[in-house]
Amino acid sequence: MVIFQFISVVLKELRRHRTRSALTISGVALSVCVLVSLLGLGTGYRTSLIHSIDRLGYHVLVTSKGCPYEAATLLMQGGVIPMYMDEAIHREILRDADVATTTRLFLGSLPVHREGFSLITGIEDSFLEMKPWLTFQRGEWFNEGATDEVILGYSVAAYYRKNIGDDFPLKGMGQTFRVRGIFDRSGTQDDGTIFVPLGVAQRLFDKKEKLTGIGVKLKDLSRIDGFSERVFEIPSVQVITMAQVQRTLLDLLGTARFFIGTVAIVAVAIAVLGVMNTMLIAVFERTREIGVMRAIGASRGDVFALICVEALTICTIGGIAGGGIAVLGSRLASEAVRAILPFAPPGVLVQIDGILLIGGIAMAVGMGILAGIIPGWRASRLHPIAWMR
Amino acid sequence: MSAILAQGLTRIYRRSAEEIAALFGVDLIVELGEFVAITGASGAGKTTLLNLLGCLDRPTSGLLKLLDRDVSTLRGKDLETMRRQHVGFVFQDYCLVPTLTVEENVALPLLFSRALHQRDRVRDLLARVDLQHRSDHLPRELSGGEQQRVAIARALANNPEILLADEPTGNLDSKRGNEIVALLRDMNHTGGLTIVLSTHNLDLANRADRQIKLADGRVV
Repeated sequence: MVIFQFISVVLKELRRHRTRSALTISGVALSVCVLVSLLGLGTGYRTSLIHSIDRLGYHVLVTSKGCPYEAATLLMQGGVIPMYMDEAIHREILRDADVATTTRLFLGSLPVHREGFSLITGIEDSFLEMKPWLTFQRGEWFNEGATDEVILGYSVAAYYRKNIGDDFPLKGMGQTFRVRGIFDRSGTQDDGTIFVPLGVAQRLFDKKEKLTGIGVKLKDLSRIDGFSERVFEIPSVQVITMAQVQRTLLDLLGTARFFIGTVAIVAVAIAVLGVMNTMLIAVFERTREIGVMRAIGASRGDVFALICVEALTICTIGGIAGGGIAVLGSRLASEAVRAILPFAPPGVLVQIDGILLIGGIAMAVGMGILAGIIPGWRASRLHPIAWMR
Repeated sequence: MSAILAQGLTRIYRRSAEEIAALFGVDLIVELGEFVAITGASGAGKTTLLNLLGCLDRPTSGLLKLLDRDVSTLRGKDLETMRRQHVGFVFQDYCLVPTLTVEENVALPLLFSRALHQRDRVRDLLARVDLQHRSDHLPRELSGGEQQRVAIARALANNPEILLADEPTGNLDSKRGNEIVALLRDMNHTGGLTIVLSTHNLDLANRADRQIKLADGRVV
């Protein structure tokens, strides 16, 4: 195959200018790494977000009036909704014929030990009905009427190294709790939450008979619009359907992905220009060599192909290296993103699958073709005796 | 059939408003199998003439036939094909590709003519210039004389009828220069190769069948 012979000639040429070749390949690798990582971030963030919303377990969330998406996001990410509604609203919702199950929620944050604030969620028995995937790693549900028991999310237990029966002081509340149960890893905000019985949470925050949210599962999801309209009639509350939340957050993410895409395209464009510049310098330096090749039988097409194959080789090597670095560094990138965006959904934020990786390398090949055209054309236009003049 | 027939061959270079006649009205016939030396001082037009004969350049006017084919009007691919198939070129400073081994340099014209898998041919060519033991070496590892022999082997890769050598001994001492001319002479005798070489060296020129002297772009 002629192409392999050309590649063999080109690889030797690249070895001649090791530093320049290495720098150019590094530039391509960097741009492909950025491209693949950013696209992986878009995919991973979206998947994690959808997973996180799905795992809320409710069809509908009823909260007091305010920004519905702020409320939903806070619920997902572990923030505190600083508005409350009366327990009477729960009783009214229970009367609705379309309602299958409800669970009352009270969310607040408290100082825990010396490390800072943690999310405290007051829950009742129906909480587990809403989230059948939430199982106990150790221990069990609260004792009837218990006022000093906590159930810890997986990450909280791991972080504080707590086991069943250990004391768990809530700083500033003057009360020490006992660990009753530890949930298994769920991959949601529940992993980072401290659960107490609903009444205990209301007492801790001095909000008796108050709720921050009511999670509702309907008998028939197709009746969600009618249910929403009826709840809308209740003063001072709002209904958030998880479908709406998902759509809105994904729209926001779509906008972010547009900007991410723009950054990636700029990175690719810079790399293409870098390779093109290197190749133009190479053509200028090799005027004599190209002339000799023409003299010994190379056609314009051969010269064009040699230069294009060189650009293609640089970009392909860079693409494979960049894709590999992106895959190997995806966990690190996820952690970096989480450090910058603390409210990012749980899970792997930078997801690079085979298709994305192959796409990144294919993009690098495309970059090589693009970067080789102008230098290749200029080389092919060189007169065979230009170097003699 | 003549190997080369030139009539009124003229090459004028234009730089800005200035016109420089590098070659003017050259008439020339070289028969097949002939060994011709072109002599003349620097700037006499030797290289310009060889470039035209080798289809590296096109004449401003005049007729040029190679192997009975009018090449003075050929362009683009036709000119490339003519050059690739029928003419071999040897330069004063060898012009080997420094990153390729001796064997790869000799195989390069075969790559351009898509005659792949010709390892035996390359080895045969290297044997003809007595360099088979150097096939894996890079040009920088060879002496000047050896590099020029590699260049000759490369020029013969596509089995051309005509070999053009522009000052092939110019960078070599007299001993190595004599060896190169002896090699060319042998190829001319045994292989019937038509050779046109340019040289300053009258001793070397005297070993050719015929000399053509150029001065100021004209045959004198």
